[in-house]
Amino acid sequence: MAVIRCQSCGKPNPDFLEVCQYCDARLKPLEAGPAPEAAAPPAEQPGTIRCPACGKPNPNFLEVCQFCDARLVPLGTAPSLEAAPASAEKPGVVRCPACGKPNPATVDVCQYCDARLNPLAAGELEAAPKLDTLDRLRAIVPPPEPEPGTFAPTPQQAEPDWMWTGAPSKDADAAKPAVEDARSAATGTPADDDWMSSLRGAAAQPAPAEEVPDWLKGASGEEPAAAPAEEIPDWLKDMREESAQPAPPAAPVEEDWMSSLRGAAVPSEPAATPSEEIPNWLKSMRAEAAPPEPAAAPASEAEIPDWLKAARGEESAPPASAISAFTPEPAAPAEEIPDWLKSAAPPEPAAAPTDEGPDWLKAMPGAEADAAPPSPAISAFTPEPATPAEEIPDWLQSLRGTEATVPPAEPAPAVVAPAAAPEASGEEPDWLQSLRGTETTAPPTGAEAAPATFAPEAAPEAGAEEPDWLQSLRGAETTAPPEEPAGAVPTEGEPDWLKALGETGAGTAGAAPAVSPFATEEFVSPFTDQPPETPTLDTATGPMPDWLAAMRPGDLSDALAAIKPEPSAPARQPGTALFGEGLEQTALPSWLEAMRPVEVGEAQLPPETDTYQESVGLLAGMRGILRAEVAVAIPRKSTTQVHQLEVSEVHASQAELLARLLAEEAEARPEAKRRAPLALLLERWLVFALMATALLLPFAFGSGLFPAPATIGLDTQAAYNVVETLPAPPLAKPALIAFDYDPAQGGELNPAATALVAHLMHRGVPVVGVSTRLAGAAVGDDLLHKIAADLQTSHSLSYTYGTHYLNLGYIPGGPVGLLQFAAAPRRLFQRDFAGSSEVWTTPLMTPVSRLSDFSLIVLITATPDSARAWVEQTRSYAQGVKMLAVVSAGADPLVRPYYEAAPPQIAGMVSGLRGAAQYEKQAGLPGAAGERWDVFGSGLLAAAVIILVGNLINIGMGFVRRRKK
Amino acid sequence: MKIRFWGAVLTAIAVSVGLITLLGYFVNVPVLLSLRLQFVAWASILAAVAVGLGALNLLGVHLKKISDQSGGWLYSIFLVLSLLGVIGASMAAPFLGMGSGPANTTNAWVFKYIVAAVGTALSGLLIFFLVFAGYRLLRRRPSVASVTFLIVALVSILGMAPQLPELPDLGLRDLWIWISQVPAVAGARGVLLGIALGVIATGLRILLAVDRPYGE
Repeated sequence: MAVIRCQSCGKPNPDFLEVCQYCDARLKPLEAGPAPEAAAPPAEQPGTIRCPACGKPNPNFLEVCQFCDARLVPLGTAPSLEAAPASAEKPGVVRCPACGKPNPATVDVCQYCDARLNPLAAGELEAAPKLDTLDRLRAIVPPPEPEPGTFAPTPQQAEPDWMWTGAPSKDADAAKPAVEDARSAATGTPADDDWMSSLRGAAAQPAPAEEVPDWLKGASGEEPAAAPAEEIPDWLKDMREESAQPAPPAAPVEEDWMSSLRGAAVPSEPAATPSEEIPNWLKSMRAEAAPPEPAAAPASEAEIPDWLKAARGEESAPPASAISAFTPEPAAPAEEIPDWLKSAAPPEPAAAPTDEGPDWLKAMPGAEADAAPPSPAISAFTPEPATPAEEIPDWLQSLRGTEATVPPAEPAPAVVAPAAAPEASGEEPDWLQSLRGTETTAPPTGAEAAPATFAPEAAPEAGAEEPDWLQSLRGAETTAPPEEPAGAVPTEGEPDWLKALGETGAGTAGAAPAVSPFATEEFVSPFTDQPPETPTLDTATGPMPDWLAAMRPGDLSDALAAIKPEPSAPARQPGTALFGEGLEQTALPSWLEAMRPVEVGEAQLPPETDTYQESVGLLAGMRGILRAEVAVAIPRKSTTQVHQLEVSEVHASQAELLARLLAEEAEARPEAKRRAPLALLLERWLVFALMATALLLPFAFGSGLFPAPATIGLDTQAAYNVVETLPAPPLAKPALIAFDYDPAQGGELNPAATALVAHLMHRGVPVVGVSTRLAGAAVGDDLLHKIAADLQTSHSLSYTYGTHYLNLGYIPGGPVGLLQFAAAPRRLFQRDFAGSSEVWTTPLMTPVSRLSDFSLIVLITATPDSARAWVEQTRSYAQGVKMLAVVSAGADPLVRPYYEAAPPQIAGMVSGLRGAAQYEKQAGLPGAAGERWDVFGSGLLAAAVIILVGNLINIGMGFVRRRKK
Repeated sequence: MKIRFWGAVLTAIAVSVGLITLLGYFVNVPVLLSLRLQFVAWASILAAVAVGLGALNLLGVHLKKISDQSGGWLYSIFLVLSLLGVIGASMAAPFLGMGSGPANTTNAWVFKYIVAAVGTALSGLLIFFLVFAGYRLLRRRPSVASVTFLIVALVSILGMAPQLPELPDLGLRDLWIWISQVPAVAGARGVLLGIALGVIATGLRILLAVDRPYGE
């Protein structure tokens, strides 16, 4: 499986991936097409390019070989993209070679995948800061967005100082205040406005006038704000005058301090500085009695770096600026060596070009001494009262890259200019001359690169008492360097740190001590009168950091060569010297080490040993995966049959609950009794009361309230006529009366039935009762007996059962029984309703053998179905027999069609109580209809009035309700 | 439609009997007439037996209700006691000289003073509830149907009621007669026609073994 290295994070990815699996950057351009096949010869495949170093094929969109990191295309040429229509690009738009997305031409890195849009130029590569680790860290983990109103440090400022000065230790904590001080001082201002960047003066944003001390402003080339004269030290003024030259154009941030120091290779004429041109700070150092001017202090105590304060031996003072560190201070006790001096380790050369680099070194003038804008640190080195040249501390000499050893008695910070140099004997030390850009060939020890950041005008006076801080820097024990640089000054007045620096002089240059030049034990004072020797790395008298040693012009190429990533260069192991002997390599912390990019030279992927390609399962066709077990890749159906479902108690209880709930759903639930509102109950009682009153009122007023109907209906008249035309006895045939109604309908039908049956009986027509309803037979039986009794009483007529009337009883089976009765009545009834078995032997029933033997069929019913059944079943068997219907007022519409049919199937109808009343009046037989006529009328009228009034009220209430809404 | 074997036999019997009975109306063949009459007689017998079975089923249901003491089981006790009492009295009346048959004295007394009285009383209460329902007819949101019903009801009531001589004749009776004999009868005719067509369709379905109880 071929591997493609991600251009963003550099990690290898399979070739079939389009996007990096680590950082999601595109591995292949969108237009470039699929990755080239690994099997095909890369040279013959389109879209591939063979690496000139290792000869392996790479996609043509890559600039660097993914195997050996050698450049595939020369610098300055963009990777070829076959499908990238460059002509289609808009002017000012650059398409990313990795992801293919358009980016503005002004950016160097793709906005989407962070790939470089423009190849690095040759100069850029060489001058590029070789802190690939940090750059990559920043690329991977961008710095957090600063909160509004808070300090927004630059990435460089955010990084701890120890990254630049050496291994992290407790000294780093002491160094932190320096950064924090700068941070607090610059709160609210651009993050670059710290004293470090201002010392460097390279692409540094000038701090607001009110925040940058004047002595710093002078170093940065800006016109310092008007400050009281007593506040500006003389040396600062002197430095400012010298630095009042057009500042060189701001170098790019990435411009290496090395490049600035490169100019130092050009011999510069040593500035013959008379003693009066010696920086005041140097003079003050040599005087060693001059108290530090308060005015020399920076405008704010908070701007003093901590290391300077520590050098001054201030315990609780806020971090002091670089200037204050060089003001004559009482010598700090040897035990108060600042931590940063103890733990200072040579930083990586690649880290040098950032703002965190030793600013005094940056400010040390080579050829750029006059061009480089003096940084605040430089201002620290503005002319003080000249110090004798013999008092050039060794550390300074070592920082300049000389072989001169720094006298142990001359401790001085390598990164800071001694503010108070021991009084020189008048001879300007070489390092000062070199700081001013002279052609000093014997710069202070180890200060080969430092002169660019320095502008010393006078060497520290030799013999002057060193300030305590210098002594403390040098340390209690000062090891005599092998060679005493010229201009060595007595170290009795030096601070300890200077002494400590002097102790670690050039004698260890070849050993490359791994501690900071500010370490007490190794510090060599640059303030020495010894003639500076040819500075070499090996002969550095002071603890020269690696990065400083690499800054020497002569060795610059070597340093660059050491910095430049060489494919064949062996990986530098952590802790080993970068620049070789003399300096101890800084040990990176583990977490930082973990983020180290893979050494391209060594990061050759081992040959693909596992050529196994999955063939089953979801991962079929893929390589480099764990082999799945056959049982997993090819799942088999379980051979064991589950015969019994294992149910736990919880599941069983839940299932039972569910079943119970379902069963309850099917059960009928009793309706909850709802109590009617009181208003509804009152209304109901009121209506009932009114109705009852209307029904009972006629009984109080007697009859005649409502007159009897004057007219008779046609249907009633027809019924009367049918009965009236029946043959009288002895030729009278019996009439069949069907009492198909229940006692509940008796109140409406009994009057009509009574009137008609009484009329038949009164004419002497025998009557036979029958019913298709269970209760109808009893109703008919009761009615027949009652009518017979009434006629006998009123008309003295004798009607006997079995002779004049008979009740057959109930016909079962509904329409079927009726059909049988119609077809063969004798077969249906064996006994009559009275239970007599001799029904068919009576004189009344003897002539009757079938339905047609009846003279008349009277149907008394309240349901239309009964009437329909009688009509449908009996008409075919009694075609010559007329049929009359006595129906209720509700059944009248449904029975009337039979009456209005042509030919009519029903000869006459008596409908409701009104029909009964009419029939009674027509027959002259008063009956119950007449008696109930008044109650009937009052009830109907009351009902009509109640319904009408109630609905009118409801309409009004609804109208009012709607209006309210 | 699936018809089981015995279901097929029963279906065949039912279909044949129905066809024979139907043919007896259209074909004047004495055999068919006699068969038809015989089948009708058997049907009457079956109907009578069904009434008895219905009574027994009623008794069983209420007895079970009493035994389970489900809702309203007390009423079931009265029903069972009434049923058994009437049946017992009717069966014992001939032996007690109270007559025989359904018209014996006991039955007549029960019918006259219990059945008829209760029935009549219940039907008498109907007027109150009907009037109250009519009184609240438009209490809810009135609609076309409710208003039309109300108007027709009032016209019918006033048209049917006796006319007071003091009140002028508003012609409500004639209107009522027209409503009851024209639109109402028209609707009734339609209903009767629909019933007739339904009976024909149902009979054919039964005769053709399409409908229950033969087919599934």
